[in-house]
Amino acid sequence: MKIIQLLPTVSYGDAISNYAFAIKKVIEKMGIDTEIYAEISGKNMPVRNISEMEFLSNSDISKNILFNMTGYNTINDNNILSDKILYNHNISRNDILIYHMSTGSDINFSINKFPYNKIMIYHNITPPEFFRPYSRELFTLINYGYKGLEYLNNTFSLCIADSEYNKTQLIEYGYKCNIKVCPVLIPFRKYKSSPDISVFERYSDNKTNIIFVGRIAPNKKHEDIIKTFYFYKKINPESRLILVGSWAGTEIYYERLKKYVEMLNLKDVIFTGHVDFSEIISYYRVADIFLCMSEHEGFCVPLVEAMFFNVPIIALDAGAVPETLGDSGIIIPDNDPLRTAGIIHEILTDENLRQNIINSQRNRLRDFSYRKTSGMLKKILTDFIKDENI
Amino acid sequence: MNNSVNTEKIMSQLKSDIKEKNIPDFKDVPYNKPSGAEIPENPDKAIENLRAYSYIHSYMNFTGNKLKIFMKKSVRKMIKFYIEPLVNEQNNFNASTETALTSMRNTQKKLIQRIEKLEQENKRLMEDLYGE
Repeated sequence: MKIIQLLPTVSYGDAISNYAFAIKKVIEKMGIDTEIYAEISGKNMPVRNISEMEFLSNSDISKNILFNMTGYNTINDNNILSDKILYNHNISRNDILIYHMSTGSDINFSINKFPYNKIMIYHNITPPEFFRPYSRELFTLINYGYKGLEYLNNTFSLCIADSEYNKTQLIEYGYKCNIKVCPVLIPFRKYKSSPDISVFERYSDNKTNIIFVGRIAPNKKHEDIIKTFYFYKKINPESRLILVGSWAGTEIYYERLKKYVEMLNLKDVIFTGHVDFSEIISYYRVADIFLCMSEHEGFCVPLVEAMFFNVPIIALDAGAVPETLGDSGIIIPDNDPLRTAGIIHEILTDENLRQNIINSQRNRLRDFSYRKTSGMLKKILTDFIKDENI
Repeated sequence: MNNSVNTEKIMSQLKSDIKEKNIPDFKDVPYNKPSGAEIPENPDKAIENLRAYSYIHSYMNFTGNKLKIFMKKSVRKMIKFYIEPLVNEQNNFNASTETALTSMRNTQKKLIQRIEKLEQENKRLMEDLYGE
């Protein structure tokens, strides 16, 4: 038996890629053979290319879908694969395929050709409407993702959702299979590695650092963070906002954000762009507040990272955010930048409150400990192997 | 329960401290919409969007310090003779496009109605003829 993980893209610093590598380690510890396959991967990444499984990489259906985004009711797929093809790919009846679903990809329309035990890990897909004003390509890609999500609703024997929020969405999309919820596996050991000294020294001054970590994307509502910072800066001029994340693919949104900062005549707003892992550690280490105004998250790994680094979290009540935070941090019901600025001030001037928030976050962090989440995942996989008589 | 914060005091202080009335909103920030950003799922909505964006103007408010604003205004004055005729021409073109598309949409709606009517008529005739 072997367990194959498949995902469209594997890259450095990407939360889903990190998750796939963490799962690989869990499977290896279970004593099972395992590999990761990807369509696109960064240089020297320890993954195999999906082209090695050409029966998955070539799909006429996906081509039809791309050219006919209005629907796919007329498409008939031939899923029958000859034993010869499977033998050539060294696939046996006891093999398991884990597919990471998070975006639009041709793979979504060929994954059902894998004949045996299929599991999907659903990381959520950002609603395309957020991207409509900024990128035709991303809008189309994400729409394509939702078409794929619907197309696959009868494909898997088991789905693993990062959160109850994601599970609900799968049910909405007609998934009737067994759906288990298992939080993202985060190997916290690597967060104990050395921070980037230059970043650490640059921002370890007397200024208050408000940070948000996440790619520059319209669903993450950086404009609301900026507006909140605008008000906070009126209370505390010795403060800065650090927005950590890449804007690749969302350049128009990024340019608009920069213009907004200029219109507000706001100083000390830093867009870091893509950063190395050691730099991310530094940003967390210098942070005084983690502010998340995102309107759509399927889990939000940076919240857990902020918990790990004892940075008090203020986050908007949206998507899976309240679920990830549990009883910790501060959840704000709506986007009122003036009130949020007041909350930031209150936390930073009331040491008891700050400490209570950090304590609540530390308690919550226990639920995401590597031991706990890897145990959950291991149990899900073991039960699956047992239930399916593999 | 999440941690609770009493913001009453700081809120009233902030409100009295912040005197600005017109704080720019993000939706007022101009930006270059990518071509085809609006995908017409509903043709009527697409025409509505077209109508909303069909009139463009060359005038824009400038931001920055006094010197920057002065420089930008000077450049605007210098290129006015060149830009404004182009913008007017573009507006004429946009208005014609909007009229043409609206007219095509109206024709399309009429044709859809006619096809539906003919299909119903056809179905009725088939039933009369074959009793299906």
